[in-house]
Amino acid sequence: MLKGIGVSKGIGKAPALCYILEEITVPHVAIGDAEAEKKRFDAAVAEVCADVHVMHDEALEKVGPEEAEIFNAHLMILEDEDSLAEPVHDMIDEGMNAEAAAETVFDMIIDMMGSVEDEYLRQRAADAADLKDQVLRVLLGKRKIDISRLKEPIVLVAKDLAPSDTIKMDIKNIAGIICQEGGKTSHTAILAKAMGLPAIVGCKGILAAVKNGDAIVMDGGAGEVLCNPTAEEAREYEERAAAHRAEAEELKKFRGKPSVSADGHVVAICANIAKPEECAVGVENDCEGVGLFRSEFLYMDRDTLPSEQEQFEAYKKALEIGAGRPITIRTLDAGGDKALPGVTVPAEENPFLGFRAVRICLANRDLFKTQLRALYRASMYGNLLVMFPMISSVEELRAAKAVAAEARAELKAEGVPFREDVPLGMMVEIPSTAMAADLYAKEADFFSIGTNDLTQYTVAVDRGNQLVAHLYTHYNPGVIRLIANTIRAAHDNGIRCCMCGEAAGDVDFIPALLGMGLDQFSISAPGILRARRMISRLSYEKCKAMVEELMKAATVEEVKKTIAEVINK
Amino acid sequence: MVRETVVINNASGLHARPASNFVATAKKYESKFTVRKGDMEFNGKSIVKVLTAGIVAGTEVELEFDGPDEEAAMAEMLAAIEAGLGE
Repeated sequence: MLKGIGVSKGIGKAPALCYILEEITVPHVAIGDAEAEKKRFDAAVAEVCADVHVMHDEALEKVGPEEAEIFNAHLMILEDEDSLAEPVHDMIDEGMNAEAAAETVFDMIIDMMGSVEDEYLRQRAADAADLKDQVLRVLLGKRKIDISRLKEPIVLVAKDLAPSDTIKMDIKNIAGIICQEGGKTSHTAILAKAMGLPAIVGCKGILAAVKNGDAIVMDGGAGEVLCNPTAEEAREYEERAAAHRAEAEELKKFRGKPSVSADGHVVAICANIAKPEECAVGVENDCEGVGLFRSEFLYMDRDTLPSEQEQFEAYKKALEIGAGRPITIRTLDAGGDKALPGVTVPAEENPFLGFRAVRICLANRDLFKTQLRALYRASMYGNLLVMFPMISSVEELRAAKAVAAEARAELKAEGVPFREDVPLGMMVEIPSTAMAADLYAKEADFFSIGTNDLTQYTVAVDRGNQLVAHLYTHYNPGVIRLIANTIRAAHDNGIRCCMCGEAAGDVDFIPALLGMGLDQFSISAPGILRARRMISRLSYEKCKAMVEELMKAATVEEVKKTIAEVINK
Repeated sequence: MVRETVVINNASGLHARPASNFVATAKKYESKFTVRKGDMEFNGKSIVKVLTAGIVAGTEVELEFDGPDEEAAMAEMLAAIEAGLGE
């Protein structure tokens, strides 16, 4: 049995699929039969063409004609006999093997297009480079595994997953995720939780121990993985799966109920989502709204920025699924570990202390205004709130609000309908902001505490670095004081305070947050009912008294003990 | 063989989507399709050649179709260019 960090509960059982990208090297070898070699090349191109056709149709169906057009351009390059097939055939006739000929000719095409001073052509050169990689991988029998279209359920085993991998995953066929690297708050962990997929990260040695097709049983709660289990082991996991289902059954009692403490204090429990469709997952789990809609998905995995119309459609969809529930959409939070070609700066020395989130938006006003215009236009279709990420100075908050005012003025001049009164709030996720929260509370319409970044910045720990990850905890007394200060400042100034980080979904931490007066808990959808059950068992008055004691707790252990006492009472 | 001299008049020339439409139109026909611009001559069914030929708005080009369906090919191509190649 292998052990890792269980980050998303549930039992996953399916054959393994190892998602590894092997390096390829192009061999230069003598060939015997030139005609056979040409056929091999043609077959490889045909295979890639077939893939591109499928992607084209999917893009047309799921995204739109503009995105699909990109794949048409790919097909044209692959079918360009004059520039591709003919020179490759000629080189094969001269004795080159298919791989070497394909590499040479693709490089010529890339060179030709890349050398022209033109953005469109440079993008096509990047397409050609991608196609070269695909054709060579087919020829070498080292195809990239496509996790966006799976034929049967699998347990995905990987070194680590990038946001661009997770966003395109074929969720319905993924029974679970196991990553060799990563920590509790890695993207994989957050996404898997949102989707309700069992997941384990930081599972050392998994890639060496598992090969494609091995029967995997995993427990995403305990962080345990069994490879090719015995009948008895499999039975034990079946029992655990049954217990898991029984708990889900019990939690159903809390559906449709308000989130209220034993002594009648009412809060709201909302969902964190990353795509409009996930709003439906939130509604299924009985969320009272969406406290964090990450808008990054609209910008990722593409060559161009999303148009105002495309964004409008996506926001409108989420608001309509929300059916009147408050939906808080966070403006673009790129940078840090979320690269956005053409917008973020590659290779910053300290990306998390660098050019990211609202800093990028304020430096690219057109990009920012396009998003705000789309948001305001969508405001007609539901209960929209907008929040700005990574605010580190009052000046930034004012500047962001000024761009929003510009967007409103433009729409008004154009006669486009929108809601004037969309609340404009901000994330509190930087220690300086949390310290001076009273200054911000006078100018923001609401707060949302982002505990993931707040914790990492406060305790100065890279959450992905296994050497120091144990120091990363929201039970740190310094982090707790900043949270308390932020909530107090919000209430002193008559605004609401939400929390949308992982801490809000930590049932053991909920008594502290309730006692500090947090108004809204925004968490990954599958945890909503569990959080509601915890709140129903707590006394708000006792939690408030406990928080006073909590301020005297000096260590993480003392903090945990103080909070636990109120749960057991 | 049929030949026509035309001016490419749509805003971005033979670029991006207009270039794709130009090539796609030619590929519907069997006839060989040659494009000439000044001293340069290239296969008009090759997207790579068309894109890198640098044909901007206002450029005069000579089109030549040669094959069994050359008349129909030329007629459709001229109509497509006239209509702005989808831009």
